[in-house]
Amino acid sequence: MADFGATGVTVQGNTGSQGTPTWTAINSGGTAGANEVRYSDTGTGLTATASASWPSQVRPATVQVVAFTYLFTTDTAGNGVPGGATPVTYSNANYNMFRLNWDASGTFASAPILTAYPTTGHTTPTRGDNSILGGNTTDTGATARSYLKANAYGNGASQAPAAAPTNAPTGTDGTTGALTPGAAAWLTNYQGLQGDNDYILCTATPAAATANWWQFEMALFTGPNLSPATYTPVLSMKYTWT
Amino acid sequence: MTEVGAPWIFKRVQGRVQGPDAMRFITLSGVSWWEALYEDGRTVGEWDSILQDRRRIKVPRRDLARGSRWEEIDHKNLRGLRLIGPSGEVADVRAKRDHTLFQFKIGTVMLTQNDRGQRAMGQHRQAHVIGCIEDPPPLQDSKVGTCVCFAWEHEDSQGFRLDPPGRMVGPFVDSVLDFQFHKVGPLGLENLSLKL
Repeated sequence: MADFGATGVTVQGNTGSQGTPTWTAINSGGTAGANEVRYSDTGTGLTATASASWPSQVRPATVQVVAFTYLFTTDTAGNGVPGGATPVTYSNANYNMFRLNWDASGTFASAPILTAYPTTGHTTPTRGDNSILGGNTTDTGATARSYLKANAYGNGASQAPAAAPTNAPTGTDGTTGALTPGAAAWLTNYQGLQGDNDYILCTATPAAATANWWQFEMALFTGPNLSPATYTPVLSMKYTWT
Repeated sequence: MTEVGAPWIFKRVQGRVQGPDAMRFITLSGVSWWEALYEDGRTVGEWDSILQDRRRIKVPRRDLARGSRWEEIDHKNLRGLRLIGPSGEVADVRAKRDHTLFQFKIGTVMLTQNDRGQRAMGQHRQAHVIGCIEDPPPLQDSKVGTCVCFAWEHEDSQGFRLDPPGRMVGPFVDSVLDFQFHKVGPLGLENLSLKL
């Protein structure tokens, strides 16, 4: 057992409700609009919208969360996360949001890392460049954090949280380097996902050749100083294998 | 980090290796491979640890590389570990006791959100590391877990693809308790069969 197979690592989004989750998987990597997580301030009429036709959003006057999160298994087959066909507005209280899954085909050599890169080239974002991951010193903190925030629960041994993170995300959340949740605990505050600058390091190295999952919440912010563009950041698991 | 006099499969000539046909396959594979040396002179190549249809493959094949089994080889009396780059460059580390040699690869799985065709999505290998825990710490300021390592980098730590594609890095000093190279963090000692 060494590296994971081609479909050995997946993300699951909750397309059911907070109380009764339905975990829907997308395979790693997206092509032609499939296997994407998308964001919009519109909660209706988008579950069959192709990636290339995804509507733009006007920057708000103040920093705020983008209200709706979607999971697309194909270019035109999407669901709200949570909410499915009826997307639910983002709330920190809806902590059954995403899971990072891996099967028993691989063995980690260290704890996995959850982060995001601007492109599939996984170059680290430039802090404070006003991009979605680089952040802006007015919108996302004097040490500019990513607009994309995440919080993870526990040690990657399929631990299910019983409550939401203590603190809801804010636009300035983030800590330079790694943040590591305690076993069976959320991070106290959300982390900005900014390549190798700011990221979440799992509590421990998962057991060898053992299927498991690691639960996380994710919130995308936008603000008045975000440079207008089409952003396609790549959520990534950085990992090691034997 | 001295020249190894033991009977490795490949002979080092001016910093590169020359050997049997396997070297040609390593070059063709485009990725690096490890080769282990035991106290009694036996060697095990990474390709020897790969099974296909319950049979060991005979040559390094990239399409089967992800199935290698470092954790399943015999770690008793393992005394040398060699990293062979596709260019033929080679580096090796030596151990005085068991369970101090290690190797692992660093990569990413791109989970969501398409980059619209800039590059193939999925799994990407960034670097391949070999190392040996220093035992006992040779310097007064050395700490438990200090290790000496080499790495074959396909991409640098900032994610830039290298031209030519890949380079040997090292030797460098790091720690298995908080591995700084590519910001890996603490290594999983049990999964790597390491003992401090």
